[in-house]
Formats: sequence, C-alpha cells, structure tokens
Amino acid sequence: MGQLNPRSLAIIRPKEGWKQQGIKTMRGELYIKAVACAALLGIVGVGCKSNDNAGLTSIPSFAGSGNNTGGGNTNTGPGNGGNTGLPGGNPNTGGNNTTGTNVGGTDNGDPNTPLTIPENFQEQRDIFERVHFDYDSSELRPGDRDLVAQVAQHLIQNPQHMLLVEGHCDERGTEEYNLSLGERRALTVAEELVRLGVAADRLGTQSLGEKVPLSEADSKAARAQNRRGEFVLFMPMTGVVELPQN
Amino acid sequence: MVWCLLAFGLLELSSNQLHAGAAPGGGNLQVVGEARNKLIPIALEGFVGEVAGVLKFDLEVMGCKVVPLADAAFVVRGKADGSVVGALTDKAGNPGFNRRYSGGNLRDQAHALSNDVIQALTGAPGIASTRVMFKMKTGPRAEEVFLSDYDGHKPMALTNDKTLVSAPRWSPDHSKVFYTTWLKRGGIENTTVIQQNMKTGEREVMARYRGLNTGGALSPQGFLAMILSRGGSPDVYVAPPGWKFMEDLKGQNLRRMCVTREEENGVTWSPDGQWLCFATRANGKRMLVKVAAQGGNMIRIPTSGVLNPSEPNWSPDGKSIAFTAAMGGFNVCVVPSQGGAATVVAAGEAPTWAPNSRNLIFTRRGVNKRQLAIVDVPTKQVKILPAFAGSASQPAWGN
Repeated sequence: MGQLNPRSLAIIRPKEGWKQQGIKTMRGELYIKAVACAALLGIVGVGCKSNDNAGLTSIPSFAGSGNNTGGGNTNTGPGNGGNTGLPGGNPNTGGNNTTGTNVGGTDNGDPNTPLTIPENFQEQRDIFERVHFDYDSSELRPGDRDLVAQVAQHLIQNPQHMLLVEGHCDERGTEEYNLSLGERRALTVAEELVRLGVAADRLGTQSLGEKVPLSEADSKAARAQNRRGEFVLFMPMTGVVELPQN
Repeated sequence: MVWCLLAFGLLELSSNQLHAGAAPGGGNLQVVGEARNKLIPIALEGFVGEVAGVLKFDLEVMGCKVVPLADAAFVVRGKADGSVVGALTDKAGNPGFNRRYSGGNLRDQAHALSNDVIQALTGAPGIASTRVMFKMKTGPRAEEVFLSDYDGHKPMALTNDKTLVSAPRWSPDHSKVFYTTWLKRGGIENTTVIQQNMKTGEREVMARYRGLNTGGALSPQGFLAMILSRGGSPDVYVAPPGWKFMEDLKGQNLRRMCVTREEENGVTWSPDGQWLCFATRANGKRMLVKVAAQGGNMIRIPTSGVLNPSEPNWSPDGKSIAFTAAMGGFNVCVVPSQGGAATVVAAGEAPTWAPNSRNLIFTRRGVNKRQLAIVDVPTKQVKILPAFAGSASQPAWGN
C-alpha cells in the first residue's frame, strides 16, 4: 500500500448531497478500509508464497497486476485487430446475431487487459442502485435506463473513477449457462455506459453467475432480486483526515 | 483397459487367482455380455460392513442389482479378513474367478473385486477404481476444486484459494486439470482460466483477458478451447498447442470459433479432437451446436424431445453427448453425437461421462445443498454419493 498523499485530498468530488461531516466520516472509514485492505493483500501474498499444502502451489502473477499504480491500464497499445478474418468467422448467418460493442474498448484501452485497480483506490459498492433483468434475458429494462444514466454521469464527472459491472443470475439456469448469461448482462450494462459517453477502458465486467444470490429464498420475488447488475465503483482514496482532539 | 491397468499400478493392488473349490455346475460361467439394458441380479455372500457397502454401491453403479441369493443370477462369495477374497459364480454354480486382493486398503481391494466381477460378466472394464473432480462450497464466497474416489470417498482439495471456482475439467490424458478462478489480482477478481499439473501441482494462467474467461477444455491434439468475452460477448476461442497466455497477452494467436451476442457455454471436444460442441442460442432458441476444429459453420446438433440444452459432454467412445435440459427443473439427457431424439436419464444437471461411456456423474439440487450422483445410462439406475460438508457440483470424471 503506497504512501497516502495529503495533497490528493483536493481531488475528492463527493456525490451530490453528501454533507461535509459525512465526507469526513467516510474518509475515516476509507482509511480503516485501506489498512484492512493492506493487511488482506499481505495475507494473500504470504499465503501464495508459503503454501505448504501438498499438491498446492503458488499461482504466478497475472498480466497487468501488481505494480500499476498509475490510475489505469498500462497497456494503451492499439486495439486488437487479430479477431477479424480468422477462420471460423461468423458462422451464424441467421442475421440475428451481431458482435457486441467492444467493451474494454479498442479506442482508449486494450480490450485484452483486465481492468486494473491502482492500490490507492477504494472499492465502493452500493453507491448506485442495482439494475434487474427478466428471466433468461440480458436486455436492459426501460425503467433501469435512468439508473445507468446516473452512473454514466458520475463517471463522466469523475474521470479518475473506474467501474466494474457485475452480472448475476437466479438459480434456474445451469451453472455454466448462468456464468455466460451473467457476463452477457454485465456487458449489456457496460455497452449502455459506453453509448452514454463513458470511455470503455474505465469499465470492467464480471459474471458471478448464480454464485452470489442476494436472497436464497425459493420464491419468485427472491429470484427477481437475484437477476441483477451491480455497480462496483473504484475511487481514489484521498488521504487521512486528522480531526482536532476535542 | 489402459486406465484400468494404470489404476491398479497406482494402488499397487494385485489379485491372485486362487484354486477354486469344487465347481458344482461343472460348466462355464454364463456371461451377460456388454450390450445390456437390464439390471443384473447379483447376490453378495459373506461380506460385511464397509466392504459389503462398497461392493453393493460399485456393482449397482455398473448396472447390477444386489438381491437375496434366491433371486440372483450370479453370486459373489467371499470375506474381508485383513484382505478381500471374492469368488464369482453363476446361479448354477459355474465358476467365474476366485481371487485374493492385496495392496491398497480394503476399500481399494473391494473396488478391484467389483471391477473384476463386471469384467467377467460383461467383458467391459469397470470404473470402480477411478476418481472424480468437482467443486465444493467451503464458505460464503469460497469454493475449492476437490478430487475424490469416484464414490466420493477420500476427498482432497486441489486448490486453497478461498475464492470462487468453476468448471473443473481434465485434460484428455488426465495429467492436467483446467478450472476457472476468481482469484483477486490487480485489485480485481477478473475470471481466470488456470491449468494445474496433477503430478507437480504447478499452475499456469491460460487466460485472463478482460471480462469472462472460462470453460478451458483441451483436445487430444493440444488445442485449448475457452469461453472468452474479450470480443464484446461470450464466444468460443481456441488456442493452438503449446500456446502461452503470458506470451500472447493480446490474444493474437487465438482463433475465434463463433461471433454471436449469445451466451455460449459448456465447450466439449469430440474424443478424436475433430469437433467442438457447445451450447448457444439462435433465433431465440437455445441449442447445441458443433464446429469443426479448424473452424467453420456452426452445425446444429438436434436434441428433439427436450428444451434448453446446456453443459454438453461428449462421451469417450464418441457415440453420445450428455447434456442438461432445463424445462422447469433440470434433466440429465443423452443424445447420439450426430443429434436426434434425446433421452432423459435422470433428474439433475452438469453430467460428465465415465471412461466406460456408460455411466454419468452429475449434480442434484437438494433443499440446501447440491450433491453428486451417478446414473447407469442404459438402466437409468441412480446412486447418490454420500454428502460432503459443503454443496458439491460440476463433477468431472477422471481415470
């Protein structure tokens, strides 16, 4: 975890309606979370190195992970043109299937590199409301478009912030199908954000399939709640506020 | 046969033909043969406790029904005092074999006896000494890949990542396994396809592009198929033999096998490596398709009689494809590999074939837990594996 820079305090752009006190409190929380995060990362790091479980070995570093603290993806090379013209092509001539928007972007970033979150960024869930999907569908509901527009507006107003869109499913599909369906849902939301002007290289998608239900109840309402897209915002941590001692 | 011998070698098991007692029938054992779709009534005499339980489970998995002596067409007589001894005869008393087993533990010896019974009765090798891999829930947001005997005994964790996992699959030679992990790197749990060497435990990242990376399936020729969403939607990609993700971070040597907006899932190779089968959707209808290994049109594999197929798994003999049909509940189905009328063989999902191309292991959803079960496809007889501590699913049958 890098040194916190007090000057970066100036960067914070709180969501409209946050009160000053709220911001201070939140900064405090962020600091605590940062420490917890550092501890966790440490544990993970140690765990990988000292895993003495027979048959288990450490996993190598992934591409794009670890040392990028610059606030985005290091890989800004040209987009991948290698997908076109390959044998296999688009064999489905039914006309209904089109290639999706290339979320991850060929303009501003490399669609190949996973979204990389700088170490001084903090994960914020539940800032934005979730969107929901019909059964077996990855279409955005008309009533959810405003929610996505709010997210887009926030990202446009806060150019440092990055977003992971999570796609979730109810348990009525098979596990493998749901994993792909959840990704399709997350991509649909991300496509809408791109359409509204968010740079694709600030967006990531993640499917959780049916693995993380909000409700485990066996009811129609529970399943409707579980078929969702969640917005996970990553924002720079802006330092520690030392409050006066009285 | 090879896997059978290998299993014996690993366990250091051996069986010695004993001098059989007087054979009252005086003739030859009346064998059943390999093509059979009726349960073989068989009696177990003299076995008690764990060994009796293992023999009953094994033989019933492999298409027998353990019955009282009076109803039996065949009899296995024996005991387990220190080591397992077993003799097979038919109802008339004609002798099959009479063997003592050594090495391994009593369970291993009982499995070897079960295999010998099936081999003697049908001419086909048994699957009682094989192992299966599956994923098990170990915490609120934690799953690990496990390996156990095919009957769920001796479970052992293959991973210790305390994160989510999905779709464990064996390489065709069973020396490696592939699975999807949500392990956090670079501040994010981007899905990642991992290859793990079963001998050394060494792991390699096979894909970690932006978005979805899952479904790693290796062909006999070494082509690695995966489901990736790097192109904007989940699609099937194939990496050439010897391809290294870390040396091709832009994926320029990946071959994209389809370009759709749909949710492709469940990649499986034909055993000769010539075809790639997966589930997709066209004109709103979910279906199984196949694409030639070198690329080409998606060809529909009809599954008439059932709806919404997913999770296909091609049988080792190449003749059949097992899959899950979702029609309210889930059904394990089998269809000829060229397509045709689908047969529902059990209530459940995520089937994978045993090396004998006869048994399927699959997942059943209980009240609070998912559990593994095995079906003998021709007889549709289902045996449920003992419950694990956590919810178990996505089994993959090994050797």
